Amino acid sequence: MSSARLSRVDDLVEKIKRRQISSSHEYALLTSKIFKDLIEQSKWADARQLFIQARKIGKKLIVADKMNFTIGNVVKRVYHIIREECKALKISLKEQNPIRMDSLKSITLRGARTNIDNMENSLDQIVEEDDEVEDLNNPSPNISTIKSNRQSQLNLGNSESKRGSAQNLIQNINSQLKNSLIQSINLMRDDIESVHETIEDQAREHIHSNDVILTYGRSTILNSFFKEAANEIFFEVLVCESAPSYLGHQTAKELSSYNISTTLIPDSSVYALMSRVDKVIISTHSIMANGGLVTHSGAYIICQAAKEHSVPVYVIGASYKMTPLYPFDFLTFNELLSPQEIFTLEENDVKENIEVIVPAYDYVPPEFISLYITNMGGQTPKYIYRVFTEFYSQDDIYDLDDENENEDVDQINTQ
Amino acid sequence: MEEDKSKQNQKKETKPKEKPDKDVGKLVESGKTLTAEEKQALRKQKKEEQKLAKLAKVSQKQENAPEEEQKEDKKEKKQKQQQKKEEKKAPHISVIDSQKQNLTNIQHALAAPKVEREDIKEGDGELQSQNSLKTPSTHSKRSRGPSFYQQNLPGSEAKEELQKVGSIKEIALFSRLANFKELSGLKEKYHYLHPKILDLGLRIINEQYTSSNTRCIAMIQALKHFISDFTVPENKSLNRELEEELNKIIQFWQECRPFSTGLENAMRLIKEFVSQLNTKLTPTKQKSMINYKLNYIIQDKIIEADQSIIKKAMELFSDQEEELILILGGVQLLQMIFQEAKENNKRFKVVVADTSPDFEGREMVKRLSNLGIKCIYTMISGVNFLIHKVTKVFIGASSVLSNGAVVAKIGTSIITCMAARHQKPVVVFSETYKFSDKVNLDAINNNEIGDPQKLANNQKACQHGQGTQRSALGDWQKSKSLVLLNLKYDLTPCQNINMIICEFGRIPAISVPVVIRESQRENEENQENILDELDS
Repeated sequence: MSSARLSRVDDLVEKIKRRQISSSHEYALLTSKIFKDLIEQSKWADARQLFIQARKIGKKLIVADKMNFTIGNVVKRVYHIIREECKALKISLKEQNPIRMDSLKSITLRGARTNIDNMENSLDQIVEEDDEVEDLNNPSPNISTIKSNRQSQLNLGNSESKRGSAQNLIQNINSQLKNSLIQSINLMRDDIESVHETIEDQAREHIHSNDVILTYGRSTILNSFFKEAANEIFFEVLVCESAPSYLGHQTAKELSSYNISTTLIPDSSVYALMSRVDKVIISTHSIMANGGLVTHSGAYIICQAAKEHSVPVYVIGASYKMTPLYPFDFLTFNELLSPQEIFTLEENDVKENIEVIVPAYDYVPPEFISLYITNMGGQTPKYIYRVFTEFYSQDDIYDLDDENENEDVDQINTQ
Repeated sequence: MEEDKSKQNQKKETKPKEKPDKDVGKLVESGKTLTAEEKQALRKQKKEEQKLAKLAKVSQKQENAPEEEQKEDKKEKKQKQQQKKEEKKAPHISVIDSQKQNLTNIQHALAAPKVEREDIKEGDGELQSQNSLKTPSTHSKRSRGPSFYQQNLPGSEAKEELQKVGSIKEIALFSRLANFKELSGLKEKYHYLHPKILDLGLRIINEQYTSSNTRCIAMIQALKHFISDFTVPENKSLNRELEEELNKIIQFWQECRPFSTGLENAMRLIKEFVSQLNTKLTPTKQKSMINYKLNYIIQDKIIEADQSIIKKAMELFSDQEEELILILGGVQLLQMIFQEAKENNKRFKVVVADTSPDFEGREMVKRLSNLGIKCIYTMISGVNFLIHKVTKVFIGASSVLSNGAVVAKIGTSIITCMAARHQKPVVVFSETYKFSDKVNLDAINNNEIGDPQKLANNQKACQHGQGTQRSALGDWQKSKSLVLLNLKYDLTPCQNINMIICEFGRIPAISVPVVIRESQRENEENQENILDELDS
C-alpha cells in the first residue's frame, strides 16, 4: 500500500472526523475515489488480498464517524462490487476453459499448494459466503494461505519453467479482475456523480403549479430540485428554521435568490401551517433499510404534523444515502450535541438543576413517508429494501463491527 | 368649572410631583381647543416664564427655532383636528390665563412620558404634536437626567430598530392574518390619551408583558388611574363619555398589540358594566362602582382563579413516582404551579421545550432551577427524544374556544400531538375569563404575527455562518420573494387534550361551552350584585 494513498485516506478520515464537508455527495465521491485508486494502483497478488486491503481502508473510514452513513454505504457498495466481480470472473473462467482449469488443478495437486489453487480459493472465499465468514472468524487458515502463497511464490523461482503457464494464467486472471473491477467502480462513480441530474429531472413530476411546499434544513440536492421546478412553474416554499443549526436560514436565502416565493418559519409553526401545505419535501441524512429515516433533528415533528394533516411527505435521497441498517427508535442511531448550541449558563444559575439535551438526529418511521425520490426513480418505503439488495451484500452489513476480524486483518499485515 | 380648575391648579402647585398625571387627560383636551392665535400668545407667555425660571436660555432658543417651523406646517392639520374635536364635543372655551397655568402644570405632568417617547422616536419629525407648546422648557428641565420612565423601558432600542425596518412585506398565503404592522405614528394618533394609558401601550409594544394575565392586570390598573382622573363635561352622563373614551383606549391598545381572547373578554366585561351603570348616580359614585368592578376582575377572575387552579393542579402530581412534566416556553401560571408543588414536596422534573425566536424557555429554566426544581432544557425538535419518558404535558392556555380547541403559544399543537401519539396525558390550565364562545378549526384564521425581524436577528443563526455567511438573512428586506413569518399562537385541536383545569374544576375539553354558559350567568349575577351592593 503506497504511502501517498495512505495519507489520502488519513486525510479523508481527518475531514470526516472534523466534519469539514457538509455535502454527503462530496463524501461519496471522495470515498469512491479512494477505492478506485486502490484497485488501479496498488499491487495485489490476488482478490483476497485486495479485499483485505479494501476492508482495512473501509473500516478506518467508517469508524471515523459512525453517523456518517454515506461513507459506510459507499464502502459497502465497493465490497459488494468486489464480491460480485469475483463471482462473475469465476463463473466465466469455468465456462471459458474448464479443461484448462482442470489441468491447472492437476498441476496444483502435485505441489503442496500453488498459486492457482490460492487464486481459486481466494475467489471462492469471497464468493461463498459461508466459507468466508468462517475464514474471517478463524484467522489461521487465512494466514496459512498467505504463507503458502509466499512459499509458492518462492518456489516459482525454482521451477519457473514448470509453472510459467500457471503464472501467466494468474496474471491474466488478475488483470481481468482488475479491469472489470475498475469498470464497475467507474459505473458506481458515474452513478454517484449523476444523482443530482437524475433527481432534478423528476422535479416536474412531483411539484405542480401553485403548490405550497414545506421543507427544512439545508441540502444542495433539494435546492437544485426546487430550482429546476421553478424554471417552469410557480409554487411557494415554506422553510423551517431547523434549530439549533438554523440551516433553514441559508436555504431560505438561496431559494429566494432563485425567485421562488419563500417563507421562513420557526420550527414551532409547523403544525399551525400544515393545514395550508400541499406537500412536504425534505432531503435526508440517510434512508434506512426498514424504509424509515435517520436524519437531522427536526424532521420528526414535520413528518408527524404532516401525518396528522394527511399531507404527503416526499423524501429526496440519492442511492448513496441508502443505509443497510435497521433503526427501531431514536436511540439506535443518534448522538447528542453540545448544550452550548442552545443554552448558555450564567454565573448565578444553579447548574446542578439544569440539564440540556440537544439530539442531533431524528428517527422517522416508515409509515410517515409517502414516497422516496431517488436517482432510481420513485420508491415506496415498503419496497425500498429491494433496492438495497442491488447495492449491498448481506455479509458486509454488520460484520464490520466484528473485533475478531480486525485482529485478523492486523495479523495478516504484520506477516 | 374655572373654579374647579384653579383649585386643582393650586393643589398641583403645592404637590406637582406627587400627582403628576392628575387630570392630564382633561387638560390635554382643553389644550386642544385652543386656536392657533391663542397658541402663539401662549408661546410668548411661556418664553417669558421660562426666562423668569432662569433656565438655560441659549439652548432653549435653539430648540425653539426649528420647532416653530414645524409648527407652521402643522397648523392646518391641527386646525382640522380641532374642528373635528369641536364637532364631537362641546368646546371648552376657557380663559387663557387659567390655561396658561394649566399648561405649566402639564409640563410637569407630561415631562417624563414625553421624554421617553422622544427617545423612542428619534428623528421623527412628526413628534411635535399638541404638546409641543411646552416641550422646550421640559426638555431643559427634566429630560437630561435619567427619568423613571426611561429606566422602565429597556426595549426602547428595539423599538427604534423596528422602525428602521421599513415596510413589512405581505404574506400572500396568509393574507387573511393581520400583518405585522409598523407602529410609528401611533403616539401621534393617540396623543390625547391619558399618559398612563400611553405608557402602558408603549410597554406592550416593547413586550414587557408576555403573559396575558400580567397584561390584563396592567391594563386594568391603567384604566383605574384613567377613570379616577376622568372628569365628565357638564351636562353629560359619565357612562356615555366614558364608554367613548374606553373604546378609544381599547383601540389604541389593540393597535399596540392585538388582544388575546382573555383580554377581549375582560374589556368586554368592563364595557358592559360601564354601559349598564345607573346614570342617576353621581359621577363619584359611578366611578367607585367601576373601580369596584375592576378590582373584582383582577382579584376574582385572575388572582383567585389562579390560586384555585394551582390547588387543583397539586392533585395531578403522583406521590408514588417522580413525574416528568413537559411544558413549552415560559408560562407564569405553570411556574406558580411548580413552585407550589416544590413547596409541597412533590417529586417531579420539568422538561422545558423552547422555540425560536423568543426563547422564553431559557428564562423559565433559570427561574425554575433557582427555585430548586430540576429542569431539562431542549428545543422543540428535541422533544421526541424525551417524550417516551414524559409522564404529563402541561399547557398554559391563551384562550379556550367553545369547540374545545385551545389557543396557546406557538408550538403547543405539535407537542400535544406527539404526546397524544405516545398516550401521554395533556393538561391545559386556564382561567375562565379566557374561555371564548368563538369557534376555530385551525391556527391561521385568528392569529397574531410577531416581529419578523426577530427571526433574522437570531444570534445563533448569525454565528453559524462564521464570517462569510454571517447573518444569512441580514438583508432579507431587499429580497422580493423572501418572507419571514413569526406566528405567535397555535391552535390545539380538542382530541389532543385530555383535561382542562379552570377555577370551576377539572373538565374535559368538550364541555367548554357549559363552562362558558355558567360563567356568563355568574357574571350577570355578579353584575346585579355589585349594582345592588353599591346602590344600597
